[in-house]
Amino acid sequence: MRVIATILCLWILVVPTGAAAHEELTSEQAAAAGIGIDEKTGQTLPSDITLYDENGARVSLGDLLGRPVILNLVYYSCDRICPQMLSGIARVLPQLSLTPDKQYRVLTVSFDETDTPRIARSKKTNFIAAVEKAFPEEAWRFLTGSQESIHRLTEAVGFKYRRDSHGFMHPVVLVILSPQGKIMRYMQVTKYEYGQAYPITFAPFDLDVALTEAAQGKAVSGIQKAVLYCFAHEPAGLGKFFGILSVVGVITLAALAAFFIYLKVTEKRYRMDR
Amino acid sequence: MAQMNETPEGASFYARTGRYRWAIVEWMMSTDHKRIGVMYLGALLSFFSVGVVLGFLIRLSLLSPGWLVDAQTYNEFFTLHGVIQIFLFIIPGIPVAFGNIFLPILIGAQDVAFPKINRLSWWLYVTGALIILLSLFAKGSPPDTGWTFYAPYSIRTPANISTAVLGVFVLGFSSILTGLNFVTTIHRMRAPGMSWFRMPAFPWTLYATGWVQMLATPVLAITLLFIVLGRFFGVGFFDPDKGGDPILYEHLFWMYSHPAVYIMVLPAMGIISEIVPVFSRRALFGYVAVCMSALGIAIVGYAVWGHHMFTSGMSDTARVIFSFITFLVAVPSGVKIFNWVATLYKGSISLDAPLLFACSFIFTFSVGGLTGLIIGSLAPNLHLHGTYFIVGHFHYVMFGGAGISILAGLHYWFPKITGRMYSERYARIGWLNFFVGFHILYFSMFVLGFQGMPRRYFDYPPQYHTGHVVSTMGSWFLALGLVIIFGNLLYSIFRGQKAPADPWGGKTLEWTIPSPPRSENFREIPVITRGAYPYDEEEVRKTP
Repeated sequence: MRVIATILCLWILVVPTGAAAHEELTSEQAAAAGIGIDEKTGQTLPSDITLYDENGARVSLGDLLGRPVILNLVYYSCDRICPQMLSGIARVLPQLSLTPDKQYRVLTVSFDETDTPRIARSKKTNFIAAVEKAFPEEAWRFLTGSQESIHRLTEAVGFKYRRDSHGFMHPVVLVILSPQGKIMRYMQVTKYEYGQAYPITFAPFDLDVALTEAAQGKAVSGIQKAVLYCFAHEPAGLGKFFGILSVVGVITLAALAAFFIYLKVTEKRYRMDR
Repeated sequence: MAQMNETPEGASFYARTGRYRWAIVEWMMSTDHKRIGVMYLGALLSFFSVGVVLGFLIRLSLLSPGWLVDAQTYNEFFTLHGVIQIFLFIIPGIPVAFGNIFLPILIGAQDVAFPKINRLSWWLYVTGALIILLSLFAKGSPPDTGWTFYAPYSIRTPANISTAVLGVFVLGFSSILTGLNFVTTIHRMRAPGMSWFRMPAFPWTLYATGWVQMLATPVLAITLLFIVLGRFFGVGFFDPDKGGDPILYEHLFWMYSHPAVYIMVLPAMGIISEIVPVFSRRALFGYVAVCMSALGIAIVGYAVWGHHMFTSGMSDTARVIFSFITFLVAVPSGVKIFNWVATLYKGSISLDAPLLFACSFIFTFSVGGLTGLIIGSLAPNLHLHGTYFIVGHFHYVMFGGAGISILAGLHYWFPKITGRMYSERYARIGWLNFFVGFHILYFSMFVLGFQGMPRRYFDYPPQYHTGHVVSTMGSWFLALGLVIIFGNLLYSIFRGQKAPADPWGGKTLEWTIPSPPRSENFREIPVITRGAYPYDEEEVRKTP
């Protein structure tokens, strides 16, 4: 026990400097990590980008346009922000005053080339079911694509993401497209409400305005600075922490094993005395 | 029955030694394992009553949220209920009370290996308990985090967490020292001829428990120390704002607290393994398997803590592994259940109060164990985690398991500890009320949980009202049962008939010495020549 206590005390003196470092992804760090948004408002997306729909059919981006579009880029295996953003979308859709499919469409595209239409279909089933009103299936598409298509699409949108040890690091953003595929504005998610059922929410009024103006061809540029990113958070001191835990653990186990052996070896002597 | 202990050969261990002027000092300074055990027992049962009253008030408040206590008080109530019942009653529970009184006697020793360390454990226990009580009455508000002290809330709440945590920390040392003492005692102090496999099952379970106490408790101590460091020095081990990780706290906490479940329930199984053979006049069926399964549970029980955190954020691989090991741990528990039932089979059963409680244990613990498998599987866990289902499961295992076995042990060893008999009639009436109340109270929690009632909530939507009313009504029966049970026992301490040395026909060593025992357990250290349960089974089967 004394050994453990000593190690513990030493370690408490050493570690806090590392463990207490403030952990937050600033815009500078994000830029350094090569993720973020390069604003391309006013530019038109190439309509010949081919993607796969939920049934595995090839569709070109141009076929999916024709009305204002809410484009969002996620990866389907994400267990952090992406599903919460999709939940936020599912929540806001029935509150919009516009008619789905006629006046707007939602395109959710995975930038993970290993995602398949099958996975996309299961996501679609879930999130369409999460929309509180009956929602036309063709108004919310879940797409996947080859590495090349994804590359072209994300380049055109200015969406910079990076593969990470656990999934991807990427910004969280809705891109509003005109019926012709022109980028009309970026709607950024800036707020994450901890502990709420829907930590990410969108204001129906803002979306209504954005879509209506997109239909009218009115582009709005300028990105707010406080951007929300989706990324794995591994505190800086954690590796060290685990290292020390395992050392302490092994020492404890060894001490107890030694104690057992000692008891076993001396058992006879003590019991003979009796 | 002839030797009605009227004139015990020598004074019992209750008699004053005259070494100290005040009886209380004499007892506090005593190193007699029986005295320490009796003091522990008194303290444990007092805390148990406080915990029961708190639990009762929680249930009462849930009849119609807000009529009895406000939300903050409710949070404090369930926290205190948990802290008291778990850290002050059920974790130390059986080892320190029954273990202290009976372990040395059962293995034919005069005392534990380190009597002074034993006394130190007792002092530490008292100190820890006082510190926890201090956290209730000190300036500021009582703890409101739940008994788990989850970070980061436990680091941020203004309530007296540091004091409470310090109390639990001190209790931890008491627990470690008790474990060390018992393990050494079992290795070194067994009577001549008492080989490992002639030991009764209860010492076996205490042995397994002792190792768990030594290995697991330091983890809790360290974890709680981090909480205190976080509160006083802002060290952010568990605070995401400072680069820490709250899930790490959960891991460390459950790395202790799951093995702690086995600290509570292993010796409980030991008590049942003592009672069942005596009241069915048969050797414990599968004795070796029962003893080995205790070790099995202790070892496998270390590797299942993750099942408390299936919804906290963990990789699928880890979840599948933890779920699998959780199922594994059910195997040795099942071994025990089947062996007890097999012991009863074709036995000459006398359904006295101890066996009534023991059989209730087998039933209730099985329900608790099987519901544990439901929440140990990944898919149902997503639905049931954090609901009343967990609360129901937990109370079935802890109260219906460890708690009932303490009642069983109390009725079994009461004559030996106090030298008096209790009223069998009232014991049964008490049992019936308790048993019925217990199942109404906690079974409705399974239903409520399945319907989605979250645990720890002060208020609830109207659809859960019926379930809550039923559950609360169960708590009335349960409380009435406990009042009858303890009223009967308390009355019997003073007015009960004198107990013979062996009222039940037990064959283990405690029944060979007077009731209550002398200060010196054995005039002559017994020499053991046979196993722990030498019943002549052929003869038993012949008698109708």
